[in-house]
Amino acid sequence: MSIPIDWATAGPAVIVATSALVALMVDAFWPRRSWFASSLPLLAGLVGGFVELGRTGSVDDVSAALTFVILAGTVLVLVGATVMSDEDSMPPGELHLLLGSAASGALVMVAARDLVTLIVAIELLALPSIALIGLRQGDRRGIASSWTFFLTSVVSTAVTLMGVALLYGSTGTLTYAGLSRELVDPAVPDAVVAVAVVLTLVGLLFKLGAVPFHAWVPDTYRGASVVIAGFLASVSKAGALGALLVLLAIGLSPVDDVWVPVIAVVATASMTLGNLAALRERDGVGMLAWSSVAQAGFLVAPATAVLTAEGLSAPLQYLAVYALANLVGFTALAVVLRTRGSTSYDTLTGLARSEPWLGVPLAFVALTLAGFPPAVIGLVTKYVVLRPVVDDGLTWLAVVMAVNVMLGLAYYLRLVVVLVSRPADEPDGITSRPAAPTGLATAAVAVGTAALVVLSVLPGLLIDHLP
Amino acid sequence: MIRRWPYVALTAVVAVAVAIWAIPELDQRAFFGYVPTNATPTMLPSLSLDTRVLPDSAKVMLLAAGVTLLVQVYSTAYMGKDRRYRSYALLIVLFLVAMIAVVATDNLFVLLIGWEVMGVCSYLLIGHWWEQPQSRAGAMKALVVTRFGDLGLLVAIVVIGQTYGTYSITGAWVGAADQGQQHGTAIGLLVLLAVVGKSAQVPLQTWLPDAMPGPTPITALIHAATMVAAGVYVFARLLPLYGNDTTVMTALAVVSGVTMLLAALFALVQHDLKRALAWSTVSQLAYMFAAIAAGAADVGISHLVSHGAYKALLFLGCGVVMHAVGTSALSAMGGLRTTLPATFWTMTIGFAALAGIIPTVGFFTKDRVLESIHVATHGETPLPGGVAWALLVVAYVTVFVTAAYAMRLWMLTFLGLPSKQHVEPPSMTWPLVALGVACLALSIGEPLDLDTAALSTLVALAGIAFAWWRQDADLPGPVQRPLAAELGLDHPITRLIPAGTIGVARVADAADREGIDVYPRGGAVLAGLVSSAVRALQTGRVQVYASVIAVGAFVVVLVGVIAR
Repeated sequence: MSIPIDWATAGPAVIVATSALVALMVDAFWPRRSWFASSLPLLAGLVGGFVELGRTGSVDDVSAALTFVILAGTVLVLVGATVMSDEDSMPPGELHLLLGSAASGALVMVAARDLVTLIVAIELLALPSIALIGLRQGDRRGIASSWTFFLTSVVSTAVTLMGVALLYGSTGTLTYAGLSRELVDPAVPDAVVAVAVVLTLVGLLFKLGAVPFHAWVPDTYRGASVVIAGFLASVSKAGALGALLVLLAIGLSPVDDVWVPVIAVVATASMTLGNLAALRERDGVGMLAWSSVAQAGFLVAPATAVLTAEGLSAPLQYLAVYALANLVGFTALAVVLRTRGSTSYDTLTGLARSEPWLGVPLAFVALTLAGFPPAVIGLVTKYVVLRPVVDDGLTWLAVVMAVNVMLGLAYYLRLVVVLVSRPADEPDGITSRPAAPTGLATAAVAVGTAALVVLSVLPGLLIDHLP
Repeated sequence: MIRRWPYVALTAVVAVAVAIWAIPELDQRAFFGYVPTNATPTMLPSLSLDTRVLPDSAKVMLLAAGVTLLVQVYSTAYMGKDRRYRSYALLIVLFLVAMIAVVATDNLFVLLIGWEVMGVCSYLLIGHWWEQPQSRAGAMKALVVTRFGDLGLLVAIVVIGQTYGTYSITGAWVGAADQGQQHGTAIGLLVLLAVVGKSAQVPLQTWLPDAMPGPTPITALIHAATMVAAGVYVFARLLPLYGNDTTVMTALAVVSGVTMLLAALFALVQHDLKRALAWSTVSQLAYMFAAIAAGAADVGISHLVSHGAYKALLFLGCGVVMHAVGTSALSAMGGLRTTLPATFWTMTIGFAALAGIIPTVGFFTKDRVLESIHVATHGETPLPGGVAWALLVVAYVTVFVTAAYAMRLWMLTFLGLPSKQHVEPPSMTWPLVALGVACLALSIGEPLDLDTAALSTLVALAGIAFAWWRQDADLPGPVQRPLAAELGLDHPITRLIPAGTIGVARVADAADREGIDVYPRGGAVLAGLVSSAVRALQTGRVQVYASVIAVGAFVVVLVGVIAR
């Protein structure tokens, strides 16, 4: 039996996965164990993924755009990870293997057009992520976080599998196209389908970190290396959101009366609880963790209108900006953590004055996430996600979103204030700053910020080029 | 040392650009001769950068750019040592740009934006020396009074948009031409409110004289070329939307008649050169409005341009005098004829133009105003004949008073015995010379109506003779005192309105603090509590997390099933 392989769909994922294996091999057999020896193959693989994407495209425009976001995000993570390149406790070969595997999982996720591939992809993304979180040797907190993530991930995947089983049982098909065909059939029992659909969505909402499946997010982000947290917050989320959108728009389109209220409720709960919890946060990484819970709400809210004309493009555009901003933020915080030993607000005070190449990007990221000028692109994307919700007639959800934009301002702007205010007592010079290899990561921060600034000046670049 | 020439160069670049833009438009037909060609009004709501420069717009733009450039040059000497010269010079450029936006735009909202930016610029520039309390007060008064009028413009724009379905001025003209002027009374009176505030006409006249503590070049800029001129220009520009309305035209005639005479009388009794010139601006603006009320918008704009030239000259000259003697009080002046010769000769031209003496440009444009009012008395314009006659009489009386106060100010400033030596910096005098030449050169080719010319010259000479006879004596007490107190017209604005406002504000503040603030404060407390609760769930115990997920999944399924 020969299985036809659609290389347009699988190409980038296969290339990235292969390069991840090459990275591990190089690390294992190269006599001088060095960081770049194993990171370069992965980088080459990611570039190859871009080339493959440009050559063949993907299943459709949406998947192509998501593939691009995932590849670009992984490149930023890869460069940002060099901030750990002198740490003995961080094994480079394993790190790059796991990073590449997880990225290829995300790539398969957005290209999946049947439920089995989706489940496999979720696991391909989840299992390396678990290992990545606890990768730093001897870091008990990282291992505890990893354990938390593992257990909650298993629970949610189990729930999803139940949903998938129910769907298969009631419709007899696993492909999205088949689902959308069978679900219109009035013979299919309504209540069973409703339960099945919602349970299937749980796994993806868990990956997105949406309330009530968010409990792992704050602990995990704090326990993992900051760069890995950035990976979870952007690349992993991009995969989950892409899979969710495609599943809703294609496979489950006949039963939108089931999932629209579910998505709306989850979006409301995520935005509100995430924002409220972030209000009390006094730590940079913790704030970004809770904010990513809230942003998950903004990401899925326009999915309620996924069947309308703008339904797919709105969350995509938001995702692209959100992922870029988050990666810049986490990478900058990773550098701060290396040089200053902490990311609490006390440490960050006056960063934009003392180290403008880190503090100013962080402030710009906060403004982008808040949707506040001069980060116009944040404002534009906020508008972009609000519009389909309003057009679709879910006015109450739009009001909730607007209120949450306001709530978000409170803590994002507080971070900006912290960054630009004068430190209460001048730190006594550059006393014992450990020499860390932060150059490449800082450069990545600068490039990412420059991209955000360019997009703020010319939002059309993003709006016109994403589907 | 502050580098000053870059700012002059910047202004010059703007001015040259304006000239290149505006000069080719000069020889086209005027406001009312304009025939709209492309009848495609943009639909609501629109904010576009379309411009439409008509011949009269071109004149006003050239005036604004020219005066601003001269003021900028002049300021290098007058304000060169000022600590905040940089912001001052840049604000002047912004002022010019806003004025150009108002004059050139075809979009009502761009007009509104330019209009408001001018308001802000005037506030900042009048209050440039904010260390002085009277500067702050004057700036605040200018802002508040003109803002009050701006409300009229905003509402007028909305009414125009709702009436004609477009926010393009040309589009509205086309609509008014096709379907007749609709809601003309409402639109006209609202625009009138706006321009009465901006151009300091009765009853919103008091801010202009009180703006005198600002730097004198700024006074010249505001009085001659930008701020107050914008009011006249906008009223003329929008005239096709309400020009046939008797109510609006009568109201405008009454406002302008009362303003021109009162302000001229106030100018006659002032003991302060700058304040007298300020009142004279108010009076001259009323002439322009009178011409518009008589249905001759082009004449009004012509007088606007000529007034811009000679009033800029007078204020800049006044600045030289103040620079020399250190005050603007007339009692400290006298005998400056020999010590400030360039200023003397140029300001003489300026005063002659103000008084309407041939061959200055002021003579010709003022005569055309008088003539257009005279034509209106034939009853062929929307203005009722009786009102036109009354306006004509008032205008001639004002010619007399204007000539009298111009003569009086000239005598008190320049005649008499010289006191001590003064200096005139060259960068201050050559703008004066340029403006003096302009006051004479602009009169070339102006039409002349012999009857009006003879009559107005006679009246003006009578006024000059009157001033010569009185010399520096005040008017008789019963006339002098109420006029010097400016009839107490300022009283309601400085006393009653603030008192009333403060009362209302107290009540509102108390209600806000005790009543409404409960909700935001309560909201903040609630948010804090929820925040703590959510974070309390983050125990780090993975059993709790798994339970949350299981319960959450159950709840979400319930939502899905029930909502279905």
